[in-house]
Amino acid sequence: MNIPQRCDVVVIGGGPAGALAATFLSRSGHHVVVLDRQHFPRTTVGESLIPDVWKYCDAAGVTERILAEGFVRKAGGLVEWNGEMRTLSFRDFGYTRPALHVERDSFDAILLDHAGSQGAEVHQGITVTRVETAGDGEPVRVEFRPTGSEQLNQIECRYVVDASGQNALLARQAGSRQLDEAFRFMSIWGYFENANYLAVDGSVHSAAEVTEIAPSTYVTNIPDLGDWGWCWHIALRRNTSVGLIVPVDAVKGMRDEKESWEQFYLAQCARLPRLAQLLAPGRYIPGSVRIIRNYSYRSEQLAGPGYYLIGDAAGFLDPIFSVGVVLAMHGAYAAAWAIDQSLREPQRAADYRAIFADQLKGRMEVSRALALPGYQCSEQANRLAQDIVKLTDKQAQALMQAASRATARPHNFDALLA
Amino acid sequence: MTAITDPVADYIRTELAPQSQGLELTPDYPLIQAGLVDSLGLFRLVTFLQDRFGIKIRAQEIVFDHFATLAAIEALVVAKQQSSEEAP
Repeated sequence: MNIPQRCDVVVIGGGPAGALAATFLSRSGHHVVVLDRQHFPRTTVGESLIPDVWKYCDAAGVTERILAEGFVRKAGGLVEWNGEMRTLSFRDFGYTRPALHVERDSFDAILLDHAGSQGAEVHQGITVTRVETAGDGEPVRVEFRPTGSEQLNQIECRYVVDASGQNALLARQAGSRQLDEAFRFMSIWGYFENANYLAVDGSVHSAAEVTEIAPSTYVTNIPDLGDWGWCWHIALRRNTSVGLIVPVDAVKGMRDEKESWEQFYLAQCARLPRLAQLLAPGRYIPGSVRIIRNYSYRSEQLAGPGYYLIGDAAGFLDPIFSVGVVLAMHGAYAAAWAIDQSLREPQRAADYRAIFADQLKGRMEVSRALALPGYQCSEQANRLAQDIVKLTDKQAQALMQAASRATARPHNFDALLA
Repeated sequence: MTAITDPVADYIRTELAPQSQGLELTPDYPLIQAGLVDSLGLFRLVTFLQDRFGIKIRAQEIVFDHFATLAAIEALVVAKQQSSEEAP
């Protein structure tokens, strides 16, 4: 399939943010082209999803397909922080639909395939190299080449949605990507076969029971890695994802090669008593360790004439409450709404992107307040975050508050509620 | 109920929150806190209010105080209609 020379909206990146934005815009009747540098299915991290995910799946019309895949349904989270175990059961907060543990290669491929079935043109193996935006109403030019080739080409559109993930293409190009220097961390994760898992009542179960007895996501802090090193245990259908969030300073000077990371990873897993117990009957899958140097960052400007930033391209936070994918989906919904409105009423394009940016910035700030132990933000960001908390229903507010208590980081969220 | 709250209540019941079909949406029913207008519904409600009442809603107006109840939404719509009449 040839990539057309023009369309209404180009979406850069086919992960959950891009796939949903493409779906919503296609369903509103716009000609959408999705470009992704990789070929799906591709692996990525972020396997734990909170029940809010269904709202967006419903809106995108993809719920049936997600259900049919038979992902592991999870009942809640068990959070062990400084030796104290707390339970967050979604049911206790009135949620009737389950949260999920998903293999991201399958989950993301379903969403992207769905975007195609809703009318979006999806082109994989295409790397975007540059985006040229001009004023409101001016065409946007997106320059691309087949991944691994030098053959440049371009497509013209009315809007571009940057859902390029941590590449944060537009923000880097504009120099508006702000690293959170205080929170430079990396993820090191791998997979175990036949590991035990915890149900929401704290009982231990074997890997074979995972589709019968709903698991909980287990997270625990890593005591000697400052106050924000932590570890996750996510039971999947065929294996268990175990990952560490580690301050970059803690691994300073370590040799940057797979063997060293693997050694460090396995040693850390063995040192956390409850985790080690769960992993004891299982076996580490050799070579499965991966690392991402995910620094916490935000893009200063979330939208401008002709462009919108969503998902990790808009910002990346400590992933402790599994909100990354849902935040990405929310950005996709908001951007698709704002772009659709702007295409209908071009003279109000600035109004719509301000609505999008305020809503997303506020939501990102709430997540940031929940995730970070020490926390400061601008007066404007704080006001937007307070507005978002007020606009949240009582049930979700109660869950956020309980989550902030579980990790001994309640002060940030309490300040937003005040 | 009024010429503003009636169609808004209808829109919420039929489009945004089918689970509220049987509820009596009084002017002070907590739409946001009870989850009838959620983070997605809010965007759709803005579109509905603009199209139906010919008003322009701006970013800084999308806050709890303007959307908490039918009465609050009515007050916003009335204020917007008056300010646009006065505009040149």
